[in-house]
Amino acid sequence: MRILAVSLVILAMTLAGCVGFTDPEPAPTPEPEVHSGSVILPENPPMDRTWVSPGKVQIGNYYPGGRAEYSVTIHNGKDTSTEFSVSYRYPDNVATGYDKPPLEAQDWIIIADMTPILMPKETRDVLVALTMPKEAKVESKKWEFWISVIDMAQTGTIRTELCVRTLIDMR
Amino acid sequence: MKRILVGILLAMLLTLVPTMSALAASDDDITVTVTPAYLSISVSPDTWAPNDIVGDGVTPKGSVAPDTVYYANPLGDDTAPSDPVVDGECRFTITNGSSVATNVTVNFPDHTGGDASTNSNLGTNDTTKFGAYSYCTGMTYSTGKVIAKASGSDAMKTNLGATTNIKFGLTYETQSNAWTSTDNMVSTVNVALSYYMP
Repeated sequence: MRILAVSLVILAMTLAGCVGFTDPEPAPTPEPEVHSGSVILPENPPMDRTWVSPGKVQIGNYYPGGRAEYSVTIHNGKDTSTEFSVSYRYPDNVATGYDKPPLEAQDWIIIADMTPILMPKETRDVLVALTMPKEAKVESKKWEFWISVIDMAQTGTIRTELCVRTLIDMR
Repeated sequence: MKRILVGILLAMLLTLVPTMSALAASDDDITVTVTPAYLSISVSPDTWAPNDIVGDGVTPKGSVAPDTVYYANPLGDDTAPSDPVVDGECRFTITNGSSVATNVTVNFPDHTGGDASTNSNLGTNDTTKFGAYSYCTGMTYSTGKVIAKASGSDAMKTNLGATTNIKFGLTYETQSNAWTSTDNMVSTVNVALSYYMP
C-alpha cells in the first residue's frame, strides 16, 4: 500500500515535468511545421562584387507534406540599381549520390521575390520554401535542385549565372 | 483503497505513454543546414562573334560559313587549341571572387533568328544543328574538351579554387547544310557557377 502511494507521487511528479513540454489546449488541425535555415556569411564578403550566399543548402529528414525554408542572400556589387532573376533551376549536374529532381519539383518551390531590384551595394535575403505535397511521390531518396540567380542587366552574348545547390535527403 | 490507487496509477501511465511518444517525435524534424560561403563570378569579354578575331581567310570576317569549325581562340578563329590549353588560346577570362571551391558549367542554347540552328548536344554538327564545346586553361583539348549542350552540360571546370581566375574558350561547328537565311542568328551562352561537391 505504501509502495503504491510512493509510486503514485513519483509518477505525478514525472508527469508534471512532462506536461510543461506539451500544449494543454486541444490540438488544432495540424499545419506543416516550418523548418528554416539562416545564412552565416564568411567574414568580409566583397562590397564591390555581385555575389550570392549560401553556396549549398542541405535539407535532411524531408518528407512529403513537410515545409523547409531558407534564405538566398543576394548582393548587388554595382553602382546602379539592378534587377535579378531568382528561379528554380533544373541542375546541369548533381553531387555524387544524388539524383536530378522529378519534373514536378519546380511546382514545389516557392520563391518570395523572383525579380528583386537591388539598390547599389544593397544586400537582400530572398526566402525560398520547399513544400512538397503530402501525396507527392519521389523515387529517389536523395535529390538535388538549384536556385538560379541572374543579373538581368547583362546584355552580352556570354551571360553568368550563380547557382545555389539544394540537396534533399528524404526521410 | 488499494484498487482505487492501482486504477489511478494505470490511468496516469496511459496518459504518460502518448506524451513520451510526442516528445520522441522531435528527433524526426526536418533539418536545414546552410554552408557559409558566397559565390561570385564575372566574365570578360561578354561577347563573341565567331570568325571575328582575325577571320578564317575564306569567309568574310565576322560571317560564318556552314559546316565549318570556329574557335574562341585569340590566335585564330580556325586554330584549334593545343594540348594542354594555354591562357593565350582562350578568349574569355573568368574572374572568380567566390569564397569556396566551385564548378563552372557552360551551356550553349539554340539560336534564335536567321536559320535558328539548334544544338545537337553531341558536340558535332548535322543538318540544321550545330555542335559546341567549351575548353579552359590546363585542359587536354583533344580528349578533355566538354560538350557545351543547350542545357545540362557537364562541368567544364570542377574544383576551381576560391578566388582563382581561369580562362576559357568555345568551339563552334556550324550546321552542315547551307544557310537558308541571310539574317543573323543569336545565342546567349550561359556560364553557371555552383558550389563544388567532391
